[in-house]
Amino acid sequence: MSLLLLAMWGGVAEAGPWTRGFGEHYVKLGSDTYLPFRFEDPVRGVVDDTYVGELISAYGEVGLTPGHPIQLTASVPLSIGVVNFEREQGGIDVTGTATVVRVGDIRLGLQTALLPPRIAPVAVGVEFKIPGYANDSVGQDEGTWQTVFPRPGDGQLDMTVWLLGGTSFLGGKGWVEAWLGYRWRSSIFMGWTVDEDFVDFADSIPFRLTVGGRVGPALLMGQVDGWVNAVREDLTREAISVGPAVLVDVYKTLAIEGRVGVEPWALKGAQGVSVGVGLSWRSN
Amino acid sequence: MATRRDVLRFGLGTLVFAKGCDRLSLQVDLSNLPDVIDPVTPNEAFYEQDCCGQPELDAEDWTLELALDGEVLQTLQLADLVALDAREKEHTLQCIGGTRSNQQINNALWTGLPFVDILDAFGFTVPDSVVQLVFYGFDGYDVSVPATDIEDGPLWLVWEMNGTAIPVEHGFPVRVLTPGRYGTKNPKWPIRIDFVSTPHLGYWERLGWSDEATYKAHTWIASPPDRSSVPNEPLTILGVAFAGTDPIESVDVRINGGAWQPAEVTYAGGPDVWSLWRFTLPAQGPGEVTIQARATTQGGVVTPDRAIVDDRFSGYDASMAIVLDVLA
Repeated sequence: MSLLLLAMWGGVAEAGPWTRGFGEHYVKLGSDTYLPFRFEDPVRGVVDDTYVGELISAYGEVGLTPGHPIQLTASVPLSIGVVNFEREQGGIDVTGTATVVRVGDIRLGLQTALLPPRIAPVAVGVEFKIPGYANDSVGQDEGTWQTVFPRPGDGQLDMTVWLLGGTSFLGGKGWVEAWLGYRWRSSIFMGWTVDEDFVDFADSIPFRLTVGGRVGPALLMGQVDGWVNAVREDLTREAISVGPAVLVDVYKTLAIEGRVGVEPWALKGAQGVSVGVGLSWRSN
Repeated sequence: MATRRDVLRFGLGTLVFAKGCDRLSLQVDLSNLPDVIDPVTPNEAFYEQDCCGQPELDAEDWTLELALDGEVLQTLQLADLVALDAREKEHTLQCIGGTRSNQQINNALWTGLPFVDILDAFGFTVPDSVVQLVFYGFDGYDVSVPATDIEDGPLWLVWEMNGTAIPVEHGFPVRVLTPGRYGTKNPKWPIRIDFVSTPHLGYWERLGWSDEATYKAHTWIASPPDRSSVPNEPLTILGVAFAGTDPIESVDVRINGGAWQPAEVTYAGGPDVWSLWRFTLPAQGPGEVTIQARATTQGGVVTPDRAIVDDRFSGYDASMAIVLDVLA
């Protein structure tokens, strides 16, 4: 089980298609909690164990270049997974809790504007997902109980290319943006020994649609995001999340952020609710 | 100003941070450890596993189609089967995905008949061209077995479990028993048996699980659970040994990698039936103690020294070991 969906999203004040100019920046320290209400392992079927996932992450954007905007993004999460399980062995009921703490999936990206900002906010970007953990090490000292420990992620390298576009309205108080991407799921596994004949994640098409507006000191936002697999197969999770987010300036450009995401649709994995809070600071 | 030692310490700290940490907390009622494992598992305690959820079936509406390469040639109802002169068969099932922490193996007394007898009773002849039987379940499950299993197994159809109609969670109204092969090849809720002339890959096999799915000789340690904290006194270790159609001859146990010592086989199951064993662990003194069990079959197979499965998609095939924390 992993928190891939949460890790897609940076924060309320992220640049989106408005690529940051030279020296502009946005950083956020956040905590997101994921509570599945259902988990279907694509290989084992529905699993009755209960799970709580926590991501404590640092996210940042910075404009790198004067003139034509090029932006660097980075996200480094600490992943905490807790599974409560019940097993029966020889007529003995065993209940237990398995906790895993690891650096999660690190994301690094570059984005550039396709058009001059004064014409239209359209951008393209590329993002790499790099596992910061070794799935082989998860629970390795716990003998027969190793298999109950949740893995922090899929343990392999991904590359996503994005096309972003948006527009503002109401004199700049409101905005809408759309993202569409293609994600290549490589078979480059890091720290995880797998049989590549049977563990081969499908490429996917991630997307996002956001509508937001400023109301006083707050930014309010509604968002739909997720991904669908590029091919029909039985292993790779797909999910869509819907929910609101808010940013409230507390001191100049220092802000508190909050969000809720509900997954009305998810296949071949967890389906649940995520709740996040964060503290952010931006240059403008 | 950072010194070279400071940089090294930060680097090591980062390495540990990246390595992460794991924590396991178990709650086991050690005051309620069993003295023996029931040789025949009650229906309510029998493990459950399915692909697609349990269906709602009405016995009066249930039919079993017999087809040849997709063409239905005959349809049976439950009344047709129960009218036959049924026999009882003791038979152990194990999930191919069973792990040391979730062993999913149980034994029951089933009532039914060998499939070859059922086919004879209804005048169904299997052509020589048939290479497999493909079972289709009411839940959408599909699985295949070699046609030779009809007689070599022999394959059974059963309609009672421990003296009562098979509970719905275990396959009501009829289940297939395929001797020598893991639970994936013993489908529940069959509604069609297709005799096919070309091989078919079933539901779990398409996801990477073994298509041959023959039982591997192995041991389980059932009690106490691995990583339990136990008192510093003699302790009864209970376990299972199973190798499918090859009965278990003996079970041995070793402590902390020492010499193998014989365990008591408390239930000597024959072909297709598990064997149960017991070992009294002497008081070891405080600290960690490792207990491992191996089995020898009547066919001469000895389970390997390793406790880790070789190929988890083919079933557990090793000598299970547990680590206990003996308290002062």
